[in-house]
Amino acid sequence: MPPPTFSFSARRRLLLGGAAAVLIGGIELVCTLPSAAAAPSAADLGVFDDAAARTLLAACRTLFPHAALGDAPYFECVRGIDSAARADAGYRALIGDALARLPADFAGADQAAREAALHRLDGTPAFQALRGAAGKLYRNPAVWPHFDYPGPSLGFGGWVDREILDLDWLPPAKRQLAAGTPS
Amino acid sequence: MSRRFDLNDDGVVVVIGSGAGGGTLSAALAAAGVNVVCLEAGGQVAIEQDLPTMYGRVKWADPRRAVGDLNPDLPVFIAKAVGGTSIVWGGVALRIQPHEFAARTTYGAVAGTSLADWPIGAADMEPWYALAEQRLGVTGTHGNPFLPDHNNATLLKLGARALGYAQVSNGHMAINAVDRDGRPACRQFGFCAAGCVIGAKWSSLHAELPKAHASGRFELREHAMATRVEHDDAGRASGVVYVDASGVRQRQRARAVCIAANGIETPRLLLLSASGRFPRGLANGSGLVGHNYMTDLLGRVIAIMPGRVDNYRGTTYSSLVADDMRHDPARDFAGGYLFVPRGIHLPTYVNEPRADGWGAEYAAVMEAYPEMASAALIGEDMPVHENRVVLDGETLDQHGNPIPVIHKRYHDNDRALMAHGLARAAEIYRELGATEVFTRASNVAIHNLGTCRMSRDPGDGVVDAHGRAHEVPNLYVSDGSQFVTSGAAPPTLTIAALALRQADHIVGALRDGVI
Repeated sequence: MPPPTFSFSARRRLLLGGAAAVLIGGIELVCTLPSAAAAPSAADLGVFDDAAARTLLAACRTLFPHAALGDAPYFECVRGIDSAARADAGYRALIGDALARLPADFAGADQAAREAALHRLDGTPAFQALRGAAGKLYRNPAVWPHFDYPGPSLGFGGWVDREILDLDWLPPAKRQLAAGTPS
Repeated sequence: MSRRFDLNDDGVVVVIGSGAGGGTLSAALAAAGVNVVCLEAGGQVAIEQDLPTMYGRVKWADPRRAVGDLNPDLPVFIAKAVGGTSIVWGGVALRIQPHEFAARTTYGAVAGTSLADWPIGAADMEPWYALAEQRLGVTGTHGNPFLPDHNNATLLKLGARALGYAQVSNGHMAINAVDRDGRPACRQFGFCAAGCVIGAKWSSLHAELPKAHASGRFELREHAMATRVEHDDAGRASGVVYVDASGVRQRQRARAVCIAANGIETPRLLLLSASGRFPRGLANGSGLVGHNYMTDLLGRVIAIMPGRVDNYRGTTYSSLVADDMRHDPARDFAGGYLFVPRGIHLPTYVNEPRADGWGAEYAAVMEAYPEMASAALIGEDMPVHENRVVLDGETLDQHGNPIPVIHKRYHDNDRALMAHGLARAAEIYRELGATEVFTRASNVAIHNLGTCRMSRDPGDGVVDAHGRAHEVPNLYVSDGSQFVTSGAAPPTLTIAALALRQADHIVGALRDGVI
C-alpha cells in the first residue's frame, strides 16, 4: 500500500474548512476535523467544573492557537489535565493555582488579552504544567492531517523505495551540489 | 539456549547492564566460552512507532537530583530496559579520532579542566574499532554500503557543501543498508529514536543479546537492580547483591564483575559498595569515582525552509558533516564537533524550536512543520573535576539507597564550541534560503561519560587501559564511564569496541588464572 500523501491543496482545504478529502492509496477518506459543536462540558470531567473547563480550554488554545482546529482536540488536552489532576494532588494544586491566577473573564477575552494574562504566569510551575498539557495537542492523531504529518510508517512498509528526495523548490544550481556519490 | 546459573556459582562473570557495553561484552565473553550472568534493571519493552510512548516506556525514571546546568526535571535521559539505551540510540557509529586519544598533548592545557591523554591510542584501538564496525555493520566501512539520501539529510549536505565543507557523506551508521547478520535492511521508517521495530538498527537488544543467548552460556535476569558489589577478604570482587523482580534481595557470587550500568549508575554502584576496606567506595582509592562527568555537547538546529522537507521520512540521523571534528588551534576552543541530520516527528516537535515556546507566533512555527529541516550538533565536552556524580545525603530511592546527585556546569570551552557550531549550522540553512533558524544547546544529557576514567597511573583514574579497576583485580568498568575524554563522536562505537577489547582481555586473564 502506498504511503498517505498530503498535498498542499489538501492542507489548504484543511486550513479553510472543517473537512477535507485526502486520497490514500486510491481510496478517498474523509478526514473530518472536530467541530466546535463538541462543546466542552464538565460532565466529561472528574475534577473541574464547567467554568474551570472553559478556562483550561481557552488556555490550551491560547498556548498553541491553530484557527483551523476545532475545540475537540483542545478539549482532549483538558481531559488529560483532568485525569492527571485526579491521580496527583500536587498536579491538581498546580492547575488550581494557574486557574486562580487567570482573570475571571479569561475564556471570553481575545487571543492577545489571553496571551497577556498567560505571560503573567510564564516561568511558574503552574505555567509549565499548563504548557506541558497543552503541548500534547500534537500527539493527537486527529490533528495530524492539519500538519500533513502521517504518523507511523510501519503500516505501509516504511519510506524505502519511495520518493523521499523531492526538494523541487530548491534552485537547480543548489540541487547540483547533491549529485555525486557519497564522499 | 538460555541457561540458568546457581546464585552460589562462583565461576560466572556477572555483567551489570545489558546495553551497548554490557550486551556486547556478554555476547563476546559467552562466545569465548565464559559463563555469564547479566543483571538488567529493566524488563523487556515492546517497540512501536510512537516517540512519546516509547520514551515513557524505556525511561530510567528513578529519582535524581541535578545541580548546575542540566535540566532539573530531567537531567539525564537513559533507558531502563533489556537492551539498555542502545534501543533508542541514533545509530551514528564513529570512531574517536587519533588526536582525541591524546587530547591533553594535542590541545595543551585548558584552564579549569582535567584534560588528560588516554592510556591507549588509535593504534591500540584500530583492530577493535575494525572488529566493532564489522560486528555492528557500520555503513561506509568494510564494504557495507551507505544508506540512501532523503530530504532532510540532503539539505544539510547541500548547505554544507555550498559553504565549502568537504567531509560530507552519507555517514557511518550502525544500521543495515542491506540484509546482514540475520537482521533486515532499513526500511526508512523514520523512527530510529523510538527503537527499530525490525532490528535493522544495531542494538544490544536485536544484535548482541540474541548471540549471547545462542551461546548456551548466558543468563539474563530482568528487573534485577544491582545495589552492591561485594568483595572478599583479599579485596577481590566476590559477588553482586541485587533486588530481583519480586523485590527480594539476592546475592549472585562471581569470579569477576563487569559494570556497564551507564555513566551515572556505574559510579553510583561503586560508591554504594563502600566497605571497611574501601571506605570511599569500591575501587575509589583515587577519589575519582563519579568525577570528570561529561555529557558530550548536544546542539539542536531547526530551520524553516522555503519549501517542503517532510523531515520525518527516512533514517533519522543518516549523513554526516565532519569537517569541524578537527582540532583547530586557530579557533577559540579546543576539540571539535559534527553535524548530523535529525528527523523530528510532530508529537515531539513542540519543544524543538524552543523548549518554552508558545502563543500565536510559536503556533505559526508549528504550522511550518512540513517545511522544517533539522540537524543535531555533537561536540567534545571538556572533562572538569568538579562535574561529578555523588550520593545524595538525604533522599533514598525505592531500594533504600541514596539517589545520585549530578553536578554539571559547562566550561567556557564548551560554550565557545557550541556557539561556533550553532552559528555555522544556521549559515548552512540560510545558504539554502531558510526563513527562520532556531538553535539551542540541549540541557538533557543522553551520553554519560568519564565517571570512572581510565589511567595508566592508579592515582589518576579508576580503571586501567582495559577497564580493570586499579584496586580490584577482577572488577571491570565496561561502559562510557571509562572514557578519558568524550571526543566529538557519539560514544557507542567506542563503547562496543572497548567491550570487545575487554572481553578478549578477560578471556586471557581467566585462561591464565589471573582472575
